[in-house]
Amino acid sequence: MASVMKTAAQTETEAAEWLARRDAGDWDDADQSALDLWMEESLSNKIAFLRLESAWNMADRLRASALNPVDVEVDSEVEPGAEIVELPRRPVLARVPKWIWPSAAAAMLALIVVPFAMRTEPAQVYSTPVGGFQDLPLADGSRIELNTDTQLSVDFSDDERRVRMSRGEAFFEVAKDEARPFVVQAGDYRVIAVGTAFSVRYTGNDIDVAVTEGKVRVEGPARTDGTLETAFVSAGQIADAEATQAVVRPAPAGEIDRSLAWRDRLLVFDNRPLGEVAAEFNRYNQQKLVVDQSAVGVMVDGTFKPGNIGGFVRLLDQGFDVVAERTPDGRILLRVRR
Amino acid sequence: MDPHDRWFVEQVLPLEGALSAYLRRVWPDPAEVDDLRQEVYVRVYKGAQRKRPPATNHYVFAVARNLLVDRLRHRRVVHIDLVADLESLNVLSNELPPDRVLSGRQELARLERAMSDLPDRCREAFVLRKIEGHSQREAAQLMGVSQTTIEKHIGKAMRILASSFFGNGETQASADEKDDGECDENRSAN
Repeated sequence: MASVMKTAAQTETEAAEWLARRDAGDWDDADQSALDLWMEESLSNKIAFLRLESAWNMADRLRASALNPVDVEVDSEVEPGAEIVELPRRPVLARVPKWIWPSAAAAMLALIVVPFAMRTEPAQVYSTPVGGFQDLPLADGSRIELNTDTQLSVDFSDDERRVRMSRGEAFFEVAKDEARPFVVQAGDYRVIAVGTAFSVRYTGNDIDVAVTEGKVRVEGPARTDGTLETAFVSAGQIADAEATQAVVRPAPAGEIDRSLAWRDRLLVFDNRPLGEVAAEFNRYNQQKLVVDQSAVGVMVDGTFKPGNIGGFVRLLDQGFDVVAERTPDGRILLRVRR
Repeated sequence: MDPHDRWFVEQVLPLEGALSAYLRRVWPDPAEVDDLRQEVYVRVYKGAQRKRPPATNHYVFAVARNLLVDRLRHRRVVHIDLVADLESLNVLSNELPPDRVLSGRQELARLERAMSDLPDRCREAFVLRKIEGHSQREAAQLMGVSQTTIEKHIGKAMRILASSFFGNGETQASADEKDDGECDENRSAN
């Protein structure tokens, strides 16, 4: 077969021939130059050689262990006290490098000029259905992106730009205007910005605020003594607020990117339990998933289109041994295959 | 050893078993898996040359997935029963091996298993050369074969050893190696 590309097997065979010939002895400078030349021919050659060579060199360990049979004895003895601790085999929790996903932060840097409709009428209401998404340019140059199942109203006055969020999640890119603070009201919480970019997710009880640019102030509900719980959240931080408590913590860049992946119409999970993942899918789909107790702990890692429940279920079936069944009320039950 | 080569050998190659298993799971044609793996290696080696990724395992699997996506896009015909959608190429969390360097003990265990994977004549040549420390010439005399033959046994042993050491017994290659019976064929020639 006249193929331009060598197959991996051909490359490996050649590498083995070189290595075995070198191992045979009588290896001189001319041989070495010929080998060098072969390795420079392609990176694939070099890698194949490196791989065989390192395993071959590693095999010297066997000789050392054969020469010190005592060590080997100790190895095979079952002696609980002297047991060597194996490194844990659970999937590693290391962060996926940021560059794998479309970086929301990078997208932020691109200045997008969008023609906008003048929105002068007070308290205009905007909403998205389950699975929906809306990009909303505002009259002042700010921009709101509404995620699935979200409802908010926009009310601009001379001294304040107010957005009332009744449910859902939205990302705000706020045009600077010192005279008119941008206030997102969600229940009893207020998130106040001057010029910045941040997202608010409101579930009805608590809000999550992730800031990608600048700084916002989060105000909690008024306490009985009339004072407010306030917290400042800066770029790279996430605030989780529940009742009158707001917890502000620095968030790794990857986490903020992940939490904003919906802006690219993606769901990104970094080793999350299936229970949580299913709840996330349910935000975007009328077809709801329920997770059986047997499967809540299955860990999911990957990037998904929120609307592709079929693909997700198929993936679970192929790789996780999780099967899907339709329940009498039309939901999809996920459970571990018996 | 060049530091980049060392990184590749110590951090990337031990992922081989998991990588091959992933490729075999998601790629419709098992005959292409070894070539894909080699292509992943080339891309990983090249890609990490400028800047070493913080988590090798995630990087290697991301490169693998991207390669498969590229391949699917460039295929003229995608069979309907092959890969349903790009999502199915996602790496499952349980197939992503932890990022770690093998301990000395784990290495030894893998080597011992790798050695037991060798066909008889290959193993004999291997033991004479590697464990008893004979030269290839001496091993040839002891086994009563030509030096060309011993060189072939050693070359074969090298390939099987690498596949079963780095692949941790999960690669297709070592099984294929045994099937083609080169070592046995040489035995009958003696």
